[in-house]
Amino acid sequence: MTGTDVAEKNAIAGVGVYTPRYRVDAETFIEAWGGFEARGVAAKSVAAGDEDTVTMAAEAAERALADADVDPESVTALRFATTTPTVEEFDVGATLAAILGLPTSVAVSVDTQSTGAGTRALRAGFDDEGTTLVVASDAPFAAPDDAVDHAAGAGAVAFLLTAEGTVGLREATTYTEEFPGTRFRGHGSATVERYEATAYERHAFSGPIAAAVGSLDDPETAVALTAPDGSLPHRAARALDFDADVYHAADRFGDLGAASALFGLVTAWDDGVDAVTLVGYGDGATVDALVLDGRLDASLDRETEAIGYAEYLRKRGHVVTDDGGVN
Amino acid sequence: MGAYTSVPTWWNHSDSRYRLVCGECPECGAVSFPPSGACTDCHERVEFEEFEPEGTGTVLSVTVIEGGAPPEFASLLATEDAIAVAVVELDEGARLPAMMADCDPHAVARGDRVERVVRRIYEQEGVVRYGSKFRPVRE
Ligand SMILES: [Zn+2]
Repeated sequence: MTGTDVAEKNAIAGVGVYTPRYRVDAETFIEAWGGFEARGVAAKSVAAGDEDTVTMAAEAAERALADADVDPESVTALRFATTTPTVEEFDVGATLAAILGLPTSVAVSVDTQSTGAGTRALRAGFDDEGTTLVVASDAPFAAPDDAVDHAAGAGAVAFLLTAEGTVGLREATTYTEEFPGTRFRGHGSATVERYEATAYERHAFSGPIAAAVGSLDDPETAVALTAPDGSLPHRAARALDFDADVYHAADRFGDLGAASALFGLVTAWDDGVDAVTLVGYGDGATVDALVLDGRLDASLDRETEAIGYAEYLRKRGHVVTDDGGVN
Repeated sequence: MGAYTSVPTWWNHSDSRYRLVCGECPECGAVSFPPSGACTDCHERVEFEEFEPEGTGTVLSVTVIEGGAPPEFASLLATEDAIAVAVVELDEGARLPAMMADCDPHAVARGDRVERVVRRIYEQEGVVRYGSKFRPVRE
């Protein structure tokens, strides 16, 4: 450095993870429903009746603040990412900030409408000056007979970024290309829908990911990516021009929406990996590919309780009709 | 717990609802929750010194509700089957009633160490009311 005072770039100083306590596994689904459409998902997390994306976000955020040993009062920016905000209009970031005790001067932004929102929020946090709390929390929802709903899990992950952090951003690229009709949620609808054209959907997923990762100068072979199920990330990795070690958490927790890729990052750290290519994918499609150096300790384990299919439907808010159907 | 509370009233005590902000009595030093009204110990009407507690405490008593809950808790009871309601003494001394979360409600017992979490308390007039509950401290 010369005499001029150049601010250090933000890096990740603390991490926090939260998953709800309930688990439903694939076998339970198969016995009750006669099938399980979520490929590569062995079990998934289910939120309790008093949980939503705001409460899960608060859990993860408090852990990230504690992990970084940072006082909530010193946070200057809150970046909250979810595809399932609790309301369609109203800044849920303000609610999250109040729960956490962040100062009233905190700059709040909510990234939504894309499962890539968590990675995009993290990317922005690296560019912030000051102390940024990035929180991704999600609980995707679709019709009960839809593969998206079979895969849907629940969970939140948070990162605290400061100039003193240990996990830094080495490089980042982005890629945008339109693929109409892939996973979307219509106006006023609670459920995600898909066009359901397998080859097209697979291309819409793998193509943009390969393009974003392909434009990195020096990608790491450990790749953590958005996992709508436990199969698609492996399929996407095969389209890359190197042999990737794939990290995702969909096999344990299901589809975590905007938090999905970030759970993959924590899974890689938990496995001892200290340099990761993080890939956030959102239908549309947009992809952010980030290469991160360094790792933090984070555990994805917690005490859990297995639940049956009927209990699962009630906690998910699906309605069981008198004739045994499910809506 | 319980009973209809207007949104403005709920908002007025949000620091206490979200983070259990307590009041220390300038007369006797006792800690009251919420930090308003008379001191729980010397019963003087005082201007409390507000502070945010650690959020940890001990269960003094617990009741499990499996039916007959007030209507605002009906949907929670429908998804969870049972709700544990405890009286918790915070490590700073204040006592408050609160619901338990993130645990088997039947496994909560007097003497359990607990920590504050924030959950949906109920939804009324289309507005979700968030507030503190407790869960067992897990090592
Ligand atoms: Zn007093």
